[in-house]
Amino acid sequence: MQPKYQLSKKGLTVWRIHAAIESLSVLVIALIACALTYYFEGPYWIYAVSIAVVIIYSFLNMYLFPNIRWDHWRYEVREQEIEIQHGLFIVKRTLIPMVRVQHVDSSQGPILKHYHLASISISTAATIHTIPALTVEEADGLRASISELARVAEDDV
Amino acid sequence: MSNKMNHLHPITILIGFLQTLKGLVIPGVVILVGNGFRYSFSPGSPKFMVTLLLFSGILLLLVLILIFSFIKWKKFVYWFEEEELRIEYGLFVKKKRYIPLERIQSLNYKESLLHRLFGLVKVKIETAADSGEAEADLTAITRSQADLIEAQMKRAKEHHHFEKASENDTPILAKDDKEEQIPTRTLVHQMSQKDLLVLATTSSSIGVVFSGLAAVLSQLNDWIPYDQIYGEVKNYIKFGVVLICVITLLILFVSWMLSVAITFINNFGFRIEKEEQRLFVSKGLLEKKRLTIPLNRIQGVRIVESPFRQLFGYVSIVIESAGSSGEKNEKKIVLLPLIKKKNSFFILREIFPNGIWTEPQLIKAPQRALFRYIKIHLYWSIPLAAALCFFLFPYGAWSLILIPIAVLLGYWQYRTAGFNITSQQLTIVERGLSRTTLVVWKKRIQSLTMSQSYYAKKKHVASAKVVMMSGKTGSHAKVRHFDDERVKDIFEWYKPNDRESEHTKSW
Repeated sequence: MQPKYQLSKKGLTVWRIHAAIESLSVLVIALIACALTYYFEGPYWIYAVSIAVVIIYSFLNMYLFPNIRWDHWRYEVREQEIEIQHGLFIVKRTLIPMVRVQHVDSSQGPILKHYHLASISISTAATIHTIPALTVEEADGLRASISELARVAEDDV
Repeated sequence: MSNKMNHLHPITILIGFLQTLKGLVIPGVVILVGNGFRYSFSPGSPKFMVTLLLFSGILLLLVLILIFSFIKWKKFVYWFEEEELRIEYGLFVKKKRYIPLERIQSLNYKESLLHRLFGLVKVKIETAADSGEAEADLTAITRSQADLIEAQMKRAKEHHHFEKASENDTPILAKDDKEEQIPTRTLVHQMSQKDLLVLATTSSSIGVVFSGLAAVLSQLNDWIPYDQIYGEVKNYIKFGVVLICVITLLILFVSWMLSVAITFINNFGFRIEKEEQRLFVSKGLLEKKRLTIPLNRIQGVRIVESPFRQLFGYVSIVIESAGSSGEKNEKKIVLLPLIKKKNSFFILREIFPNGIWTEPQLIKAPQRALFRYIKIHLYWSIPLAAALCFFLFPYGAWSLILIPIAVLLGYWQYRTAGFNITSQQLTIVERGLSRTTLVVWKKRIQSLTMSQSYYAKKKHVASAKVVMMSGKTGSHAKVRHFDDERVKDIFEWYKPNDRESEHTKSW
């Protein structure tokens, strides 16, 4: 039984925007490489490689990887534990008992804010687990319920 | 309670002075040598003025440091008030630190030779704060003062205990003996002279010896082809080889002897005592150390068997402890540097009576996972060997030996790997080079992650990672490439359920 809930579909868009920004910087590097090749009359294959790198990188980073990631992402907050599943090639399932939760943070960058999204980070004494791209209502609700449940499940470390 | 202001022992001035000096040695030498030894003490020489200035500068600096050390000592006071240890210090900015006595987790003692001359100890006070830094250092106080702090701390704790009778900590590790009003300190283990000798002679320096031998062998390999090329100088070179071998062996032997001596001195008189919920580890011949480890901070126990010691049935026991209390802020604390494996279980049983201390029945990795253990070593060995072959042909071709070694290492790790779960305890056996058995309790695991790649899923193989609190950050242990149903068992085992938590609460 994997965790029930998925991330907000808008989160995928946000990831794509992030990836697009990264692709842009790769594009700039590729353009510089092309310009230098032109200026110094370098071999033609450099143009081909530069273009190929930009296209492949953009395809993977903007389309394929976010899709796979989003498909794999699952989370569920139960009374006594939090379960998270994520990963690209290797799917990881993490279990965090409520008694181990020390605090919960939510955060929101400008892009997330624009899409009315937020992410929450769950901290234990040794680890931090982030659930990205939830709607603000979901994030606030989760934060509140986790901190409530974590308070009930008091235990010594 | 005595409200008397206490100073540290005046020897602190000397210690502080020497410490500051130590920090200045390297820049000082750089400045002195940087001048290229252009000094002269004859008044007629033109360099005399420079020399004079430089040395009077150094003298002035020394005097200043001494004065600062003195003021520092003068300004440092501590006293007891309202069940708190209060410390005031600071050269320019006055700082106060009040430590509630019942919060003190551990008092760690250290006696250097200088301390021992005057019957003093250095006391490191630690509280539960996870900062990892010692809360306070009392650089040099008399034994009786140290005992006083300990007595005050105990009194405060008892007082506190009566007030909050309901509160009981460290449930899993030891039972709370209600009748036991007066804490008694019992000796858990004292290292025998024989064990100490074995420890000293088989300490990590064995690795140095092996690598040294390898270096000698590689030297030989380098020399042999030359023999064939330069026939006439053969004898001369042979002599050279012998000389190099002898010198190398001599250096190795001396360094090994040194490390034996150092290990012997550092671990002399190694003993573990237990008092209520705390362990005391003391050791050292010249410099004595005593470490306090609160049992409730111990997160996991590792039994480490290095390949060489495993042959003779020796293990060392390392604990993972939250907060620092380790030496030099290491996260791992050596609880027992060396012991026969069968005896180790007795001791562990005594220290952690609620743990299960036997050779566990291990669930082993399935055969279909074998290649995964080997694969990981091929990732580094093949490119490395290929690169060495390519760039350093023909001698680089020797690096091809790495590949079978890597395969064997993978196989060895596969053979060793295993785990076992009981109701509260997870045991993970794995091998880097040393065989490590990690014992961790369910309520000490911070989080558990199960991971599986697409191909692993097809093969029904999965891995898991447990994270514990250790030191300032966490530490983790992995169960690699087991049958995914077995790994799911760990996952389910770790899942809290109602009955369990009631059980936990009743503790």
